[in-house]
Amino acid sequence: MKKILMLLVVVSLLVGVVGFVGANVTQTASVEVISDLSLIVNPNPIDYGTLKPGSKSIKNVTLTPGTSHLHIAVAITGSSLLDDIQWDRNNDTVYEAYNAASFNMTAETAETFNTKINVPVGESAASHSATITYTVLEKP
Amino acid sequence: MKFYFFVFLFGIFISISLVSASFSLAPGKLYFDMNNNKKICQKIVLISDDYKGKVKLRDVWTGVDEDYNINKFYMKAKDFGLDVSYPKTIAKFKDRESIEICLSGNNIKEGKGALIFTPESDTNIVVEVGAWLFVEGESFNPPSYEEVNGGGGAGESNVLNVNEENNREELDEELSQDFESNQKPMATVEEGEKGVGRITGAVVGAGKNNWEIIVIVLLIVVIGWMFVNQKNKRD
Repeated sequence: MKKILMLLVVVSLLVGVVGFVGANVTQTASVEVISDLSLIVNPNPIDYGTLKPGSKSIKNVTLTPGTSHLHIAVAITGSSLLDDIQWDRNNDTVYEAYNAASFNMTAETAETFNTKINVPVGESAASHSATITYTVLEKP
Repeated sequence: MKFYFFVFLFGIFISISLVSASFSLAPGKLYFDMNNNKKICQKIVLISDDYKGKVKLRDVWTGVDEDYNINKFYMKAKDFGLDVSYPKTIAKFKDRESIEICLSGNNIKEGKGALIFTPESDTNIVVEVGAWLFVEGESFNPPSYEEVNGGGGAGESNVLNVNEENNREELDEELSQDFESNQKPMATVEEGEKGVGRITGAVVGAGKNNWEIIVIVLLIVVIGWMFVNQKNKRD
């Protein structure tokens, strides 16, 4: 009886040790990377002030992206006068249309540029307003 | 006291004058291989820490060779033989919302699009976010935005177009690499798992070589046998 008991102890020890040594301990790790599509637009609103026909107004705009590289599309809707806002992204006074502009931005790198509005000669006196929509996507 | 009051007011003024949109999307790009004309559904999660309210959804499309300027995405999903379904509105968005977008159809053509999420805005500046949609299918070269709209469209930037042309080869290369690398995750999504946009890994510990295990086991067996033998002799 003792022999049998002793054998059982040895066998169980054996099984335990083999199980301990032979087990492949696997630890899993996971992370979900998401696109940070945050964009801070400053200022809001862009106030070009009170202008006479034939004059222009220039205002700075700063766009600050978050931690992802971004692709941005600009759309201006509303007053036809404000649809024609121009910008010089490279600050070289070469102005291009801001409406329908599309560009990439580097993560965590703010960009400041000029925006300009020209009031044509003969423009009727009126208040104008428009909505500027920034569509932000991950850089393709 | 007046100074602190002024600082307080100035802080309020500054925070009002900024438009902050802190949205995140997971994933930012979705790939659909529609060559087999089957229905493929994928999940996309919209996350925001500070926005609560209504969010409207829309999809826009263009040919694969066109610019990435979504202002020029003038086509509709049906132009590509696609039937796209997703909730058109998230009525009460808060923190995070998972939505499912399903693509199906017959004789589907290759194209690219975007699913745009538009939050409500109290100001004249709206910041909306979107995810790219890339569809593999029959080769398709639809007329460009310029051809449809009669040359340079309103508000086009020549400088930007030149830049985009310069980046085109680089972007196309990146996209084709992305598409290839996402083929497998896309299949897992179809099977109901979340694969795209995630990085998963495994750390394996306590891995021993087999011969070491065998030696240890043999030693234990020998020791056990000796122990039993000793006992037998005593008995």
